[in-house]
Amino acid sequence: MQRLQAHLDHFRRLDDLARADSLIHRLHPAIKIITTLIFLITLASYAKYEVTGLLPLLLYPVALITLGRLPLDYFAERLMFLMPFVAFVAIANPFLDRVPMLQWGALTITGGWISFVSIVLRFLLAVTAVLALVATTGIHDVCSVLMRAGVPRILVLQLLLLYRYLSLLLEEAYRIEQAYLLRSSGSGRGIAPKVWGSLAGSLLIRTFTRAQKIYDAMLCRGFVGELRLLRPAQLTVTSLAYLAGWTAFIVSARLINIPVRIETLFRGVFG
Amino acid sequence: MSHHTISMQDVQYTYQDHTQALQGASFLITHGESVALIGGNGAGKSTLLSLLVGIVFPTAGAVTIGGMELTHKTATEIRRRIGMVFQNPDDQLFMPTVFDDVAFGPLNMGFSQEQTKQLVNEALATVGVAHLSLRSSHRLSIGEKRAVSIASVLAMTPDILLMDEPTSGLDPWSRRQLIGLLLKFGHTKIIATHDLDFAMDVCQRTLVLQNGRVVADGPTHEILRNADLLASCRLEPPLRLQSN
Repeated sequence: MQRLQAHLDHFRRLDDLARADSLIHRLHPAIKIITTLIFLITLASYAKYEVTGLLPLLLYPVALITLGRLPLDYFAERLMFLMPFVAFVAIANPFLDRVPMLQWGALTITGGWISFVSIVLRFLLAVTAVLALVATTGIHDVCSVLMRAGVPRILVLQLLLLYRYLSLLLEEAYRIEQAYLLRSSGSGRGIAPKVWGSLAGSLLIRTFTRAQKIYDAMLCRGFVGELRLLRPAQLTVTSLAYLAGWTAFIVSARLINIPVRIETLFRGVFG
Repeated sequence: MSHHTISMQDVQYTYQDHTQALQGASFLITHGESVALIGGNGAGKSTLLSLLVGIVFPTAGAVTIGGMELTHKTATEIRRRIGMVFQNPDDQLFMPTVFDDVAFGPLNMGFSQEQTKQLVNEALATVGVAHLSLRSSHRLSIGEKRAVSIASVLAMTPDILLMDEPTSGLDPWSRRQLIGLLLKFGHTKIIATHDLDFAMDVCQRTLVLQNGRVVADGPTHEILRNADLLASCRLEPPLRLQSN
């Protein structure tokens, strides 16, 4: 029960964050989406063993969280929740790739461990950046931009309704789970596997019924299969400067390994 | 004929499971009338409202709105004239924020961005929830959701308002607010309700449905005093009349 409730709370909190006001919230949504895409593509373009080159990119999510006045604990909690999945994806690397890459005294670090760290670091950066985008933009503006960018309206509509009704679906699932647990024999071990099928069926039927009602309500308000949304505010100079600034930084960080340059510089001065 | 008239001529409707929800309902409602639609569970109230707005179509008989017969072809045009407030606001409010939700109808009707914003602001102010415009619809109380549902319909500037159980789930204060609000509207209204005290406050005329037929049609103060009629339809007189 608590887990479903926690997911619900997470959604609600994301909505609350998106409604706040800050420098980042006021930027044009298209600018934020483009900057996030540039950031993600750059992250994916790094070589397998890259770790130090990724470090300067930490500045991007940190700046978003700070300037967007987003709560750190929220991000920490979401990252911890997703961490086991990424660890599962990357954990094979240290075992498969045993080529020694670094030697510090008696300690040998293999290529597998370096690529493991690289994957985890990229994951942290990517998830934080995307969460910060949604938490400072709101799903409506994201959808509005996607539609203007030529994404088919039907897909945008699906995304919008999915986001809106995920919380209702979770509430429905929560009610079913509660009703089951209150009337089960109290084994305290959650839902017995033999009734998963019928509970899932019940949830599916409830979902269909609700979907039909929502569609009826949409028809009553003039929906004829084409989604129309209010456009976000005009592009501002601040938004364009934001895009230009971050693009310059991200591209420079990709082309120049800043930590290595700094180290070389220090060695040149003090060496 | 006025855009605001509603008529049913011997309308029948049978669901796919062969349940006969309506078995020959007939009535005429004219401009500006406020009509309560009452009846026990399963009497056909919600089906009747669905038939008036083209969610379902009669298996026999005819529904006419403002002189235009409701068919698959005319349904879109007729829905522009009728605002339907659903029983469960969660079925009606599906956009991320209150403002977007109320804007959904006007945008579909082809209003410009600026006109839509103006209509939304006016509708929200009319129902007294302008301060909620940036909130998520699903985070509101049931009373606030109901008010937003009504605003989402008012923003489409309909001639006719249909409401399905508008007082269900409302606390007494919200219910009183809703009564005040509806008394201010000059729209033709049909309100399906079990709340007969509410019907007395808001509606001058009452239709009583039983087993898919209109068994009584007359002034609300007369019908709701007819204890025998109400009892035969699984209803009771309003509380304020019971204490007398």
